[in-house]
Amino acid sequence: MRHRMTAATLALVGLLDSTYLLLYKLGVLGTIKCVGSGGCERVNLSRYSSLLGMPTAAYGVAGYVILLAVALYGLRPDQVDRPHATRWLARLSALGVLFSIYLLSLELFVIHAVCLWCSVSGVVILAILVVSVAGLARPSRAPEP
Amino acid sequence: MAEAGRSLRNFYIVLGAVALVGIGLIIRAATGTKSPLLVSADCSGPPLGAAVAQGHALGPDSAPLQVTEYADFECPACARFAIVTMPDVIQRLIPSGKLRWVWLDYPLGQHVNSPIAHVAAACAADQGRFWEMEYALYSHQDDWFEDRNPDSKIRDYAKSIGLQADSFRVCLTERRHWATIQANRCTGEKLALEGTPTFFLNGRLLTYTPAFDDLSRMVDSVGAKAPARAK
Repeated sequence: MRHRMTAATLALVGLLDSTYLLLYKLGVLGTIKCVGSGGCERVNLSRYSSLLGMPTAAYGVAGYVILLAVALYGLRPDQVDRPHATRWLARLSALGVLFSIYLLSLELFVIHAVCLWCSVSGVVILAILVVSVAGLARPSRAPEP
Repeated sequence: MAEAGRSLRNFYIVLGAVALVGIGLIIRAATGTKSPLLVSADCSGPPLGAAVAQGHALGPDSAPLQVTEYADFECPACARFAIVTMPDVIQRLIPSGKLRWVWLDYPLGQHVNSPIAHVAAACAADQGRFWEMEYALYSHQDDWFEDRNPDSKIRDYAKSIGLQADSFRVCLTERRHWATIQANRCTGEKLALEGTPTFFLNGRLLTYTPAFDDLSRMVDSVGAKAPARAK
């Protein structure tokens, strides 16, 4: 149960982080707070900050909403001892990690700037994967259907 | 079982607290900022999104005279020039074919609403109305430069000059062209501009703001002796 609580908390942090980036991209936030000289701005105003006509941060928001929902679903009394939620957390976060690696490689090798808040998201999604895999490694108390 | 219920209750309290703190910080960031965009003083690195500097031009490329103007939308002297001199330049000198005018963004860091005005002008340029938007922004400068949220006024100007409202709004909201604006600014930074407006005539710095008569004399003198264009 604890790993799902941790995953849910991490997903919420990721959701807030992605929402911040999305609001900046949409122009709701005037400026973006960042360390260094304009890395966040450079990344979030580059052409890679949109994917298939949608802001890249919107995919983060959607992903973290799903992860949060899965983690909370897994905390329901009838799901606590079943492994399904944890498996889905592991699968989805693995996809998220791959997407984060793609975005980080764009930052490092194409845009030549690193965005702090994007890196926070990368660390969060990796942490969710680690927690989920650790949760899967623990023996399940309920028999699989 | 009771312990699990307590643990779950504590977890939801922590989760709620994290959500509240996070939402509070985001709301604070959204309402506490005045400037829509930040002018970066750092022009040493590669340009944003590999943007290329590109000014807004009037007149033929082959014109023997080229005036390059660096301007900021919150700058009062730029507004005076745009309102008093530029309409005559556009109507009377550009049609001669002897003068090309290139306008380059030079938003100053201390002017908090200037960046969004530069974006608005670039978005108007997408619809072929840069000069109309430039005039609208300068002639209404007093109305928007201290506004906490100038976007809605700027959208009104867009409507008044006949821009397609939806595509302009999307362009403005997405801060499209900001990278090009920064790249334009960096070309001025490299020329060590001391303020705005700054003018170059065929690549040579003009140490004054030219009046229409000065420009007219320059254009008239071209017939006899065409100066070489250095820029």
